[in-house]
Amino acid sequence: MTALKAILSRLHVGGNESAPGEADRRPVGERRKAERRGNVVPFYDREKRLRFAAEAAGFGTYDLDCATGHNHWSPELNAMAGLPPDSGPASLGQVEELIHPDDRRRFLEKLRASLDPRGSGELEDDYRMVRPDGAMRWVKIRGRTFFAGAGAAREPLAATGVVMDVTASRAAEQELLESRAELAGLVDSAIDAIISIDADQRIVRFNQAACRMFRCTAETAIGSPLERFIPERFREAHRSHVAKFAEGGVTARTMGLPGVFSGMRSDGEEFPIEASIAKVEVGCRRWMTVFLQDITERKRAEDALRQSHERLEYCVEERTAELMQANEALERSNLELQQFAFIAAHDLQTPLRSISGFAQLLKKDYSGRFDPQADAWLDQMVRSVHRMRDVIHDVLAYSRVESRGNVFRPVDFRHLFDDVVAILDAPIRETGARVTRGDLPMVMGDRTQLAQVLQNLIDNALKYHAGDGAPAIHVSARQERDEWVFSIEDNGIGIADKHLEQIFDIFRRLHSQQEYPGTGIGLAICRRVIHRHGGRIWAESRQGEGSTFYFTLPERQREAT
Amino acid sequence: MSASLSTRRPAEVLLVEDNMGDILLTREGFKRSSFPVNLHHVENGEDCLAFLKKEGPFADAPSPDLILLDLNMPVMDGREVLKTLVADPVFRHLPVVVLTTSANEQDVQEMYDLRCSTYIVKPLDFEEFQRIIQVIAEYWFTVATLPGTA
Repeated sequence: MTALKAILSRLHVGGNESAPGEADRRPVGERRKAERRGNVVPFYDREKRLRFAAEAAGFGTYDLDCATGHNHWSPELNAMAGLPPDSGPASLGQVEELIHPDDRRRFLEKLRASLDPRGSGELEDDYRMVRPDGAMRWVKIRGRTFFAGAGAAREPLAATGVVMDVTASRAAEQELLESRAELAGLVDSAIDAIISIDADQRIVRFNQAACRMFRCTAETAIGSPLERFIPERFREAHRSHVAKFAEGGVTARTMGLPGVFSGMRSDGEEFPIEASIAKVEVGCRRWMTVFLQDITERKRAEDALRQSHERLEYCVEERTAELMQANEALERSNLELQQFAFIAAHDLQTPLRSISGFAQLLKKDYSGRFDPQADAWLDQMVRSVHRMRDVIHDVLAYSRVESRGNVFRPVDFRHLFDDVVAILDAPIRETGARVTRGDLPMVMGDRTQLAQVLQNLIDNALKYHAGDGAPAIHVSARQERDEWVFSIEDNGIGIADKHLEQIFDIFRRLHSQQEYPGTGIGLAICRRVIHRHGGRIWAESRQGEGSTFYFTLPERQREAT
Repeated sequence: MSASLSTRRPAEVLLVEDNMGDILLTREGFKRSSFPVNLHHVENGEDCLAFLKKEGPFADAPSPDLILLDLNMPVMDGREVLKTLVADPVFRHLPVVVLTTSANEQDVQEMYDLRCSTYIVKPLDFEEFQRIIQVIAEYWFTVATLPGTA
């Protein structure tokens, strides 16, 4: 036992000179003798130097005497544990108290293992140490147990070692681990495929999205050249593009390869890709990360959109052409109709003139040679001819509304009113009518046609007056939004509700020629003229009380027609 | 003193008209006017030119003092006749009165552009027609001085 203690004391490196211990209690002379025999540095010097080194490194040292269970801690270790320099834990139990409860069990197991004579005696582990003030430190322990004897007699003498405070590096390490885990999580959960390559364009990172995109595992991808995932014909362009980017000063940008940039899956399928690239340089190491999006769906959608757009355009063009054709046909048929009306009217007049002329000549030259019946018939003939002349005249006027219209000019309705009243002077006098007006505006239009409208409407009001009393006719206008609403109000016989719309139809008459002569075209002409001016025309009436005819004209004409 | 025609001889009037009713009424109109008139008539523009050139059946035709020209006729219409006449140095001096059913503004403009002498729309009423014939005769044979009669 004495020999073992001696070995222990010789190898004791962390001891404190003042600390109690078997070795320290040996007589100085004996120690000196031993040093001289071994031709070594004097023991106290070595111990001192080691102590200095431990102090400088911030190491704490401990020394456990297995025979006595006595424990010795260096002042540094005491400081590390938040204890006064000279009052470290004397027993193992006290040491245990300083270890974090969660680490205690592991600590004891490890310690026990290191003291096991069948083991190596090595102890190395990290534990949390809880200071008396509650603060926690991470410490790293590296120690060794010294054994004596062999076989079953082998037993531990002492355990000694260094303790380092690794709280700061543990925190940094933890932070690094966390940020690495976070990054890995980010990269792996990204929707984009993310592939990092080294300076040789070999894959060093391949996330899950990349696995899905290229249909292979990260294990098979990592280490292989990036080109593996690029179709043959794009490889050259891609390689030089990436190389150029690597040399350039830009650190991230969208990869603008000319034409379609395609990727190639493990099974050889090609697909369109949109890519961007970023560059990272640390020291002399450089790597690049590419971010890829499979835009197959987007391309498909774009193509579909473009196709439907083209189809739509085609349809619109086709429809426009059809409409233009229809419009041309309509214009042509309109023109033909107008020509027909015009020629028919013209050709009807010539024979009519003969009938009228010869009837008149007969009456003139043979008057008295016929009996009164014959004279009456001749009169009726002439009257019929005149009526037919009126019809032809109105049909011509109707057919000319569109074809012979004048360019729109400003029309002062006050002057127009005066002119119309002057033209209708005879019937106004005859009926004793009172024709008045409110304030009338200036509008854009075809003066001749608008005069025709006003004349027809006033003429109708004069014609269809009630038997008793003189006609009273009032013309006025009011502005409503962007149009003028004109009204011609009379106190005449009025119109039944059911006829209010029909009256604007051509040849529509509500009375016999004997009651009220007319051609049935006047209001149809009015409607045509007002429509040509972009307005509306209608009538309101109470039978027996009078009628009001309304028509509108836009405040501004879109274009002169 | 008077340079007018009426005092010397009957006026030679060429009526270019295809409608028999109008021809008869015009003839009747002149008959009832107070002026001696020899009314000749042709039924289309081609015959009108032949008459003026005294061609074919018109070899013995007189040179007219006044032409009454209808517009709408078969074969060659009044517009073409007037166009031809004003372009011909031999005939362009002839006074041409357009006498037509057409009150079409475009026709009126076109005929005056071709320098017709007058444009008259035939009325339906014979009394009115008679008055117009009377006015034409009175004006051209008693008021106006016609070429070759001065």
